Amino acid sequence: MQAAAVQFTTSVGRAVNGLIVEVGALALFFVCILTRLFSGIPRRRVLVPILHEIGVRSVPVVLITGSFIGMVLAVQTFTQFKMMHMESRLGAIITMTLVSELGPVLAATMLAGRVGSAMAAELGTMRVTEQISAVSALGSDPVRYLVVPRFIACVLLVPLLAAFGDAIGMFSGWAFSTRVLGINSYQYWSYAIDFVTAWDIMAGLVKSILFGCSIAIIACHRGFHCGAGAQGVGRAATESFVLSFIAILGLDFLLTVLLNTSYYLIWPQAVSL
Amino acid sequence: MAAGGVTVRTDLSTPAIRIECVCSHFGPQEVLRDLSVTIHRGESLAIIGESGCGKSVTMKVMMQLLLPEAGDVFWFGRNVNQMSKKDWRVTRLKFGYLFQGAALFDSLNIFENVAFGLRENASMSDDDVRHTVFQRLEEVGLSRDVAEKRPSELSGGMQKRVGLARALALNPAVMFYDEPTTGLDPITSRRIDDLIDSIKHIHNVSSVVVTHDMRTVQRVADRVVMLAPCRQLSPDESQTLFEGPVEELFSLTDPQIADFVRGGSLELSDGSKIGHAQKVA
Repeated sequence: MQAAAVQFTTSVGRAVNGLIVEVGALALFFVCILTRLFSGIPRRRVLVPILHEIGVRSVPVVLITGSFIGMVLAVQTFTQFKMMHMESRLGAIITMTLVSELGPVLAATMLAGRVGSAMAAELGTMRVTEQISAVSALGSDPVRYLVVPRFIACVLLVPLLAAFGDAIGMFSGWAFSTRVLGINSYQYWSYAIDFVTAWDIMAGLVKSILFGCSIAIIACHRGFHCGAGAQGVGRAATESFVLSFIAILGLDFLLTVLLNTSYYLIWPQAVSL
Repeated sequence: MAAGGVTVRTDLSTPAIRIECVCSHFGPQEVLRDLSVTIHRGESLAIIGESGCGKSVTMKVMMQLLLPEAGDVFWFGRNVNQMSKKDWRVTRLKFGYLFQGAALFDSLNIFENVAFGLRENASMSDDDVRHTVFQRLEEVGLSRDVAEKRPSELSGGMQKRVGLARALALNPAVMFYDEPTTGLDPITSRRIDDLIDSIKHIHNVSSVVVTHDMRTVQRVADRVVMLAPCRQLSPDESQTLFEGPVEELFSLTDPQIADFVRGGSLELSDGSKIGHAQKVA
């Protein structure tokens, strides 16, 4: 019994220690990126291909995801709202959900899978084949040359792609609601505009920026510190996605609480939790 | 010798690189133990030894691609730990490194690979970069046609040459070669050896070659350092099994060294054997 308790405590301690080490390593890596970021912007010939890879090539994925999410939201909420004779307000719930919550989270999750894993695998392969050492041997700073452009691209493009996903979701929700469910088009957009405030848009934007940050830091860190061989690269890609996904959900919760609290502090007359 | 506004010592008697009492570990595994090696200006030093004895690590420590746990590294007579950041960066540009697998950047074509160091470090016009890249490609025996190709479209030998051209682009004073002929056929190996030798004479560079191929040692080295794996040493034993001229290495009768030298000949794929009394013309 005592041995089991000791073993349990040891494993919990080891897990907590591992978590602290991991978070510390990511924080140091972030500081390392920031110091390089403020000492100069990457060259255009380095930045543009990465922006293209992360931004333009992610458009189809976000477009498909956004379209289906808008339609699914319309289907799911229609029945519930119809029971309360509020189906005309479908536009409000679809837009609100997309702008402040589902849009940023889903766009970031899709990008953590498509872009984050690819970045971790690419940098991991570069580590394994000594290309990162070659960057250093040729007088360039690997973090500045390889990580900073990817960080900038994620921070800039995740919010843009999330906004694009929101817009596609709203339009697909509108199309399905008006064409299939028989909702009035004017009412859909009218309620959508009335219910969504600048604060909701700002909340979605803040979330997307921080999701972009976390995807870039985790993916690049995993790639940079990848283990040997093909197995190491595979593990780096998988860990990148899993950790990014956990970080996105954790950040989403923390930011939602923080933003809600801030909102009610600024406007106390609004109904609080 | 001025480089980027920072003066590098010109005293020719000062060694190009010296490492003193360097220790290095990978986790619990001891890799380098109190190792001291000197590379004089203009000489070619071969580092040989069994797999896992720390040859490549020694070379990476010399170039500061890996930082040792203990010991000092001197570049042109100056301790790297006492250099300013700028001085350190500019002095390191005096070193070129040919990686074992060439380590060409997959995402860039051959031209961009060779131009990488020039674009990152030298304020050269595009025309000058172009001129230098084609000059270096020509020096390593590659035509301009390869410039637009991707590394994956080239053979192993050609990739090594591109790696060499890339390392030479910044006019290094010291060249490091990490197993330059490993995985290549005898004819290509011979070409790479000839290139290493001609680069030494044309550019007047010091060379450090890590290799298992005793034929490469005989063709390109003036002096040899032979290392032993730390795991096979007792606590008071030195890691350096031999240090001296190439001729001396091949005339030694110490069974450990002689076996390695003979064993090295077995790696040659053309069937020839080199014992400690035989030499390649």
